[in-house]
Amino acid sequence: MSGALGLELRDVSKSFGNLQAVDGVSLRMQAAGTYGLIGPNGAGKTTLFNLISGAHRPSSGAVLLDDEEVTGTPPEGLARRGVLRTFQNTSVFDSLSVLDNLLVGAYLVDRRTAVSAFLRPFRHHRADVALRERAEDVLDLVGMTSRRGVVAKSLAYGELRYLEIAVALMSRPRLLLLDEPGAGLNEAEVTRLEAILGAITTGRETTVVLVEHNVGLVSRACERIWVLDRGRLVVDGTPDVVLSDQRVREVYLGA
Amino acid sequence: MSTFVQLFVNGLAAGVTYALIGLGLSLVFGVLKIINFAQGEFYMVAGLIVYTVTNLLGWPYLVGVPIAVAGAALLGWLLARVYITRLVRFDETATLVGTVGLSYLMLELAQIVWNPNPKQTDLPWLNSTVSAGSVHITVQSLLSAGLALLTAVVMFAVVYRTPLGRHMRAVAENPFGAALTGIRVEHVHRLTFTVGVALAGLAGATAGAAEAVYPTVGQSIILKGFVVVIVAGLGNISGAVWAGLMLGLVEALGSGYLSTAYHDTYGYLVLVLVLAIRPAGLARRKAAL
Amino acid sequence: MTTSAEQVTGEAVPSRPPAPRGSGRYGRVGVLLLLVVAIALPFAVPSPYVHGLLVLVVIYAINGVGYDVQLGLTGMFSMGQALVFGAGSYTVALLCTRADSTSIFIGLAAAAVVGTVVGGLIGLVGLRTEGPQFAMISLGIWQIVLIWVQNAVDLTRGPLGISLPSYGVLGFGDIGIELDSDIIVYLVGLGLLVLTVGVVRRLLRSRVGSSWLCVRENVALARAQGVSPFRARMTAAMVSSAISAVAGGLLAYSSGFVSPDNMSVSILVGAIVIVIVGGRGSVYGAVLGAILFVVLPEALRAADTLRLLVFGGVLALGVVFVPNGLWSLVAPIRDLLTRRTRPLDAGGEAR
Repeated sequence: MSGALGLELRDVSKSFGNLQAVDGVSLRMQAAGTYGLIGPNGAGKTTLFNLISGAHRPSSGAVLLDDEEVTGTPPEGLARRGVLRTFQNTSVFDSLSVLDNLLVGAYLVDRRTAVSAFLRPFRHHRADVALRERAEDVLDLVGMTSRRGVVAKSLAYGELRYLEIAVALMSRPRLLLLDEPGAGLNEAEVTRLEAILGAITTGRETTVVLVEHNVGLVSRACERIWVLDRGRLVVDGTPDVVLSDQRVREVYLGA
Repeated sequence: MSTFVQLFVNGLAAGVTYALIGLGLSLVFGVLKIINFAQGEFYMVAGLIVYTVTNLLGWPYLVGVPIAVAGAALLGWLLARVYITRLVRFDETATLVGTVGLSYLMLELAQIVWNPNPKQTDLPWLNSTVSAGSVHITVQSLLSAGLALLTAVVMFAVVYRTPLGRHMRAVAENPFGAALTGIRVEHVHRLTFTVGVALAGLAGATAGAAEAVYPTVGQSIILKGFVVVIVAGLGNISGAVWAGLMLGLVEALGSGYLSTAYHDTYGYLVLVLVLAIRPAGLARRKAAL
Repeated sequence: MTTSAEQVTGEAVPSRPPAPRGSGRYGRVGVLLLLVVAIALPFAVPSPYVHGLLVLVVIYAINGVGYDVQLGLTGMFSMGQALVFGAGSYTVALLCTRADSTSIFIGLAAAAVVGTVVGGLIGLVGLRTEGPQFAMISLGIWQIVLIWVQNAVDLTRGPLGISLPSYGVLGFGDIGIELDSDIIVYLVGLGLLVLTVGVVRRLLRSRVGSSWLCVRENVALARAQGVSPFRARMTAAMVSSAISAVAGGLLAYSSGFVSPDNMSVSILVGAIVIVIVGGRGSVYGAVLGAILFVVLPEALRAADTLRLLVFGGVLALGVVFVPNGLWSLVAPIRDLLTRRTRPLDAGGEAR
C-alpha cells in the first residue's frame, strides 16, 4: 500500500446544533499535489479538516479517498489507510524524547510485533534497526538530528511543529493533513517549514493538504487553493487566480 | 402489593443518601476535574462525630447534625487548602492515586481515634416509625429526605443563581479563561471541594447516624456514589439526584425480591450489564455542571 | 517496503548504526551483579525471618511490575488488580485441593491464563469508558466478585479460606523439588521476576509497548497515528493481569493458605504504593518499590494496623512531592556513571 491518495468531498455538511459549520462543500484534490484550504476565522476550516481526518462525522455528504468512500471511519481507521494529520495546538508525546516520539508514534510501520519480540529475535532486530534508520532519516528531513535526545516538552514552539510533522511522516503518509502548521512561527521558521514541505512532496508519494491562516505560505507552497467562508467554498484555483479574486479580497480584507 | 410499596419507600429513603453522595462527587468533578475517592470518608467522619456528640457527650441529635456537617466541611476546607489545590495540577492518574491515598489515610486515622467497632447512635425516637396504612417509614428517613431536599434546592440555587455559582461554572467550563477574567480559581476550588464533602457529611450525619457507623463504612458508601455519577455522567449534578434515587430503588427491590447478600452490589451489577450490552457506554455529557 | 529516505527525500541517505539503546553494557553488568547478590543473599543470611521477607519481596515485585504495565506504562488506573491477584491465588488453591495438581508449572500457568481472562473481562466492560470511569467500574467489579467469593462457601470456603494440602512441586508428577523451604520459593520467585521484567521490557521494544506509551501520552495523537486505544488498553490489562495472577499464585504456594484476604484492599494498595514509590512507568522502579514496601515497615517495626495509614500517606504525598518516583532520583546518577544517552530505555523511564 503506497502512493499518494486523491481526496474527494461530495456535498459534505456538518452542523452543531443550530450552527451550520460546513455547508455543502464539494471538492476534488488530485493525488500527489500540495493544496491549501484558507479562510477567515470561523469559516469552518478546522471543522472541514476534522471531517476529513475522521475526528468528526459529517451530518451529510461523503468523503472519498481514491474513489473509495470512507465517510465516518474513525481516525485510527483512516490512519491505517495512510491519512496522517497534525493538530492545530501542536500535539506530541510530551514526556518522551524527540527520537522516542518518532519510534513510539510509528505504530503503523513498526514491524516489531509481540510475536517477533519473543520468537523471531533476528527478524525483530532487523525491524528495530529499520525503524531506527527511518527515524534518523525523518529527523534529518526535518533538520532535528541534533535534537533527538531532547524531551519534547522542553522544545521551542517551532521545533514542536517540525516534530509533529516528523511523527506523522514516520508512518509514510499517503495523504498528510496539516492543521495550521505555520501558526505562531516567525519568518525564518516559516521558510524552514516550506523547505520541509518541499522535501516531503518531491517524491510525489504524498498528497499534502494545508489548512492555513498565513496566505503567503499557502500561496508559495500550494499548487491549488480553496477558500472557505461561513462554511461554504467561495472560490478555488491556482494561488495567482485566487489571490486576485475580488471575493477573496472581500472575505479577507473586508474591502 | 404493599410489600412493593414498602420497598419503594425504603428505596427512595436510601436513594436520598446516594443522591447526596453523588451530588458532591459530581460537583467536585465538574469544577476541579478530580474524582474524590475520599468522599465516603467524609460521610464516615460526620457519622462518627454525630455518635460522639450525642452518645458520649449527651447533646441533642439536632445539635449534633450541624456540628458534624460543619466538622466535615472544616476538614474538607483544610484538606483543600493544604493538599487538593496542589493535587489538581497533576495528571489524571496522579489525582486518582492521591485521593485514594487520602481515603485510606482518613480511614486509618478514624480507626485510631474511634476504634474499628460499629457504633450505633442511641436515639429511639429517630428510629421509631411513622405508618400510613401498611407502609412504614422511620422518622430518620423523613428527616434525612427533608434535609437533603432542602440542601439540594439551596445548592442548585447557589450554583445557578449566585455570583459564586457563576464563578464555579466558569471554572468548570474553562479554568484558564476564568482566571483571565479575574476569578480566583484556587478559591473557587477550595469552596467547591468544601461544599462537595459537606454534602457527604450531611448524608453521614443523618442516614449514617441512624445505622451503625464504623471507620470503613465510607468504602461501601463511595461505591454507591460511583454508580450514581457514572450513570448520571460525570459532572452532571441534576442527573446525580435522579440517578441516586434510582439506585436506591434498584437496591431495595433487588434485596426485597432477590438476595440481601448482594445488596451493596445491585447498582454495579446493573451498571456492568448496561455497559456490557451498550458498547458506547452511558451518558457521557461533556458539559460542565 | 523500503526503509531508506528515498521516499521522503528523493535521495538516498547512507544508513547509520542504530542509536544506543537498552541498558547498555554497563547497565547489563549492573543487573547481572545485582542478580548474583540476590541469589547469594539467602545463603549468606541464614535467617528464616529474612527468607520470609525475601519471598514477599519477589512476590510484590512481580505484582508491582505487572501493575506498572497498566498504571505506569499505559496510564490506566485499574482497581481490579487485587481481583486478578486473588484469582491467581484461588486458581492455585483449587488446583491443589480439587485436582491434586501440585506442579507449580501447571499451577502458575493456569493462574496466568485465569488472570488474563479476568483482566480481559474487566477490560471488556470497563474500557468502554476511560479515565476515572474505568477506575470506578473496575473497583465495582472487584467488590462484586469479592462479595461473591466470601459467599460462595461451597467453592471457596468463604472467609475460612482454603489450606493447601501440600506446597507446590517444582517439576511434574512425583519427580521434582517440593517448595518446602522459603529459599526454594524465593529462588523460583526470583526466576519468575527476571522472566517478568524480561517480558515487559521486550514488549516495550515492540509495537505493543509503543501503543501503550502512545495511549498514556496522548490519546488523540495515538488515534491519529493508527493506534486503537481500546486495543492498546486491552492488551495492557491482559498482560498486567497475567503477571499479577502469577504473583498471587506464588503467594498461595508460599503461604499454603488462600482466603479473601488474597484479594483484599491491602493487595491493591500495596501494588499502587510500589508503583508510585518506585516511579510510574519504570520497571526497575517497581522492583525498588517492592523492596522498600516490604523491608521498610519491618525495619521500622510498624504495627500492622499502622501500615495502611502510612501507605495512604505515602500515596497522597508521593504523587505530589515525588511525582516521578524514587527511580527518577536514581536514574540520572546511573546515566552519569554509564554516560549513555537514553532514547527509549525499555524501562520506559521516559517520564
